[in-house]
Amino acid sequence: MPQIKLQSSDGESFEIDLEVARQSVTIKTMLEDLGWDESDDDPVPLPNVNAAILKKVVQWATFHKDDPPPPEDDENKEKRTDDICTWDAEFLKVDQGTLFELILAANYLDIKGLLDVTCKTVANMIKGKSPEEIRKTFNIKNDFTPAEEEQMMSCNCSATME
Amino acid sequence: MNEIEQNVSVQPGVSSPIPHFRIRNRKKVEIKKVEKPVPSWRGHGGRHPTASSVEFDRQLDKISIWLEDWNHTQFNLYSIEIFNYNKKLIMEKLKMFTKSIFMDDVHLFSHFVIWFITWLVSLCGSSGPAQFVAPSLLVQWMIQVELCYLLLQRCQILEALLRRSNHTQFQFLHTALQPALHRDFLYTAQTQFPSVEFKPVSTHASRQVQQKLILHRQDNFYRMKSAHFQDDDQVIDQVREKTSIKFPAIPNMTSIQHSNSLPVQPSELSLDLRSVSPSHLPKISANNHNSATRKSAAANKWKNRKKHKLLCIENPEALYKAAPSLSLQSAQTPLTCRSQKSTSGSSSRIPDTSRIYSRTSQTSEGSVSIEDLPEEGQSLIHWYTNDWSGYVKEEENLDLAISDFSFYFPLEPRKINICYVKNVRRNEFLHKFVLKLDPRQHYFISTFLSVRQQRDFIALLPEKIALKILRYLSPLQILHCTEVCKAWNIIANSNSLWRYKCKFIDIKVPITSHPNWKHIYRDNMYLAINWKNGTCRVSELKGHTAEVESIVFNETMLASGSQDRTIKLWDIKSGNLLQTLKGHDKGVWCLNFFTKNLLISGSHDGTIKVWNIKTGACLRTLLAHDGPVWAMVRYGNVLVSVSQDRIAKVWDISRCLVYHTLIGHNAAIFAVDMNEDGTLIITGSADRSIRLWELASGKCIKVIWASQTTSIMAVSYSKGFIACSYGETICLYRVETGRLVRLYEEHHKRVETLRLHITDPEKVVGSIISAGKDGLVKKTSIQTFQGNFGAVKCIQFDDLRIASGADEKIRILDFNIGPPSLNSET
Repeated sequence: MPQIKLQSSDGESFEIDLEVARQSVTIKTMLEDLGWDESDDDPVPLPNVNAAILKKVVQWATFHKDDPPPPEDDENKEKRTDDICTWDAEFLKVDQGTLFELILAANYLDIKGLLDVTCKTVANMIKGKSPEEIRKTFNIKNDFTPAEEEQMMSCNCSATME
Repeated sequence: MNEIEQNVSVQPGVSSPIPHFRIRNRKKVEIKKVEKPVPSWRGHGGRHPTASSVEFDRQLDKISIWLEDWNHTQFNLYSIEIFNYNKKLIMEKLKMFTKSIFMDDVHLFSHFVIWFITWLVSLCGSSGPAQFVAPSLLVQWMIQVELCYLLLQRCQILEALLRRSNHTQFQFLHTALQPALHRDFLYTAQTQFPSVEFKPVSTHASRQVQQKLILHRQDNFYRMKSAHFQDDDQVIDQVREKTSIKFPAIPNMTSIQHSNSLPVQPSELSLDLRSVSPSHLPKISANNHNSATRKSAAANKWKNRKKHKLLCIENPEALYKAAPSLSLQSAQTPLTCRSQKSTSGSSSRIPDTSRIYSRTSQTSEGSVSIEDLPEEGQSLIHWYTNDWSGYVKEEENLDLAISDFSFYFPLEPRKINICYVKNVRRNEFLHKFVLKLDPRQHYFISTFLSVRQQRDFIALLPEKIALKILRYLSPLQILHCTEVCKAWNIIANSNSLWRYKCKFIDIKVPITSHPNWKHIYRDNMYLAINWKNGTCRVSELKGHTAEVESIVFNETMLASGSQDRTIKLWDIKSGNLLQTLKGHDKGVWCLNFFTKNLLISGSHDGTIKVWNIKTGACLRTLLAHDGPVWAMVRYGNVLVSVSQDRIAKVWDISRCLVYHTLIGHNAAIFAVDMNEDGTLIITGSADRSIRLWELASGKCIKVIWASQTTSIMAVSYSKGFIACSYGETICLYRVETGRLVRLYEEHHKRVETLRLHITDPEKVVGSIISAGKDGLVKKTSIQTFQGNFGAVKCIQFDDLRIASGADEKIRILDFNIGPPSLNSET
């Protein structure tokens, strides 16, 4: 199995299987554009991902290397958030900071499966919560004036939504 | 080298472009020269030394020395093996202890001395191991108490630093402390997925921290159970469970053989721990200040502290509630604290430490008072807080990759530059700092960070991703999100998000050219509710002089044909009369819009006319039938008209040619309809039969004998079903089998007109809107609308409204009227 070296923003190198790395569309296209071959020993620089996060991304990609490619987004299909597999659920039991960085990394590396599952995790954190609970969960300050809030409440009439 | 710059001092609060770290004095501590080449914490992009960076490094080194000292003291204390103490050491220890803790409190001190001397004297009378064991236990206890205060003090400094940190520092610490934070994940993952290899993250800093962890492996109780914290409560539970700083219990001297000889019972050991503040702890270095000034300064502090305490006491409950304290709980210390007269006899049970470690609130960052800290600590914090803008001036041209930071700091370039430099330097410092700490402090930082690590995902992530997250939510949840804060409001109200949500519902309200999809979603929902509840706005159009026989409408207009031989056009929204079309010799029995501007009408006089609505001119007159044209249906260019003359005619209306003449019925045909793709024609006749015709061939393919008694007055086709009415009865047939599905007898008098709308052919779900001579418009099996005027002759409905005509009036029931609650009175 050919190996490839990835270099994180803080200079850490990871040597991983090419097949694992190719789950990232960014790396894949980079390799294609650069005409990478097996004899190449230079690490692929990933200036937007630090070592801690890259490590996790590699863990995820290694576990999911045999997965079928994720289906293209069907705009007309309602998305579910309850289809996160147990491994992923366990894998994403991380603090919000790490989850945040993972989303940014998945976006930068263009790994659709990871981006989907991390976004779902965040969606699940929002689900079923009142605005106040959401604020508490994410440590957000309510910057509405009471007047604005009242206007919004009457405008939303959220009680009648479903 | 021992005396380090006493003269360079900056008072806290006095702003200075270049803050100086002030170190008061230092005991004999060998400065361990860093032998390794400069580690990468000074690396962060590799900067060239400038005057300012040299100054920075000098400050850093000074702090480093102090920290070394810090470290040294702590580990010395920590590693003491109590039972090897000899008497001399005990005395020394006692001296230090008393001096440090009771120095500023004469009453406490004298009380302790008296107690101690009595105890010593009594000890001399005893013999055996107790002579050694008892005092060594006491010393052990004292050391532990001392240690606890030291630890608390350290945590206090740490907290003060952390409260003054920003995202970048948190991120750095997070990474560095990953080994501590992610252990739980690793454990569970390894048990659940043994075949997969998990390793903690590894960076230069984290490896160094890891090494320290290994060094103190026996301390592995400083492990966080889980890093997955969602709110403060979880963290508090964790910290309570794993309180790393516990005040030791007083050594149980009753267990010692000669305990009787002790004049003082353990319970008499009445040290008021509350009165011992961190500022009274043994200094890292001996105090070489003028003792008088030192004491007076300490006395001032003491007063201040009392004030603080009183503040706390006023409302202790509220304090606890207000502060979801990240408290390293000393409240549950097993030590019984007895109030002493000298400490103003306060009866509070809240130890001082709980105040120190209360997180006052999330918003009041940096509000932790630092005045209780030792001078070095204060100086350090002040140094840390300063933005080093004095340094940055020279370094404006730094070629830095600031783009990463513009995300977090949407500031002007110069400010970004300052932020960047500041962050890099703080990280350099923190790197050094973290390595000087022991696992307890690491644990504290991890805990503190784990509540600070909350991210405002929606506001901070790129909009594309934020929308992707919100797409997973239900409309109701998205509405909740709009109420969170302004940034969320903008994203959760985004048009593309609601457009996406609209794809999953059947949109029935008209869509404008620049739609606000949120409003469309909302209106559509209101519409559904209004239909369900029968909430509608009723408007009546008056103008015809005789009975209205037919009605048709499109998005903007309503056309009505009447016995008075005219056709009137109305604005459907306002109800204003737009046009009156005159030309038919007899009443107009059926109408159909052809295009926006063309209207087709069928009349009792046997003709079909095509009208230009705008001009009001009759464009064509088709001499269609030998009897009244009772009904028409149009699909594209195909028009089917049925007549009293028992014939149905299929027209190409654009060319006004007859395609087919459908012959078969034995009596007048009253009703006609077509299927959705215009291939099938359904006619209902006075001969009590329904006939199905194929459009292409014009052949009759099926006959359903629906009625036994009277003529069929109305038919309507929808998704494989036909509804027809005869007499007061409405029945539903399945086209494929030609069998009766359901029979409704809802009306009291003859049903004149009906419309069928099947939403789910599998389960036969849908609705029939019917109206008849009894004056009722009924949406069968769901609701009855009281028509309460004369016999309804004609009816038309779409997704928004029902229009019906009877006598000389037209009534519109409009359901697209917004929230039901606001219109319930109408």
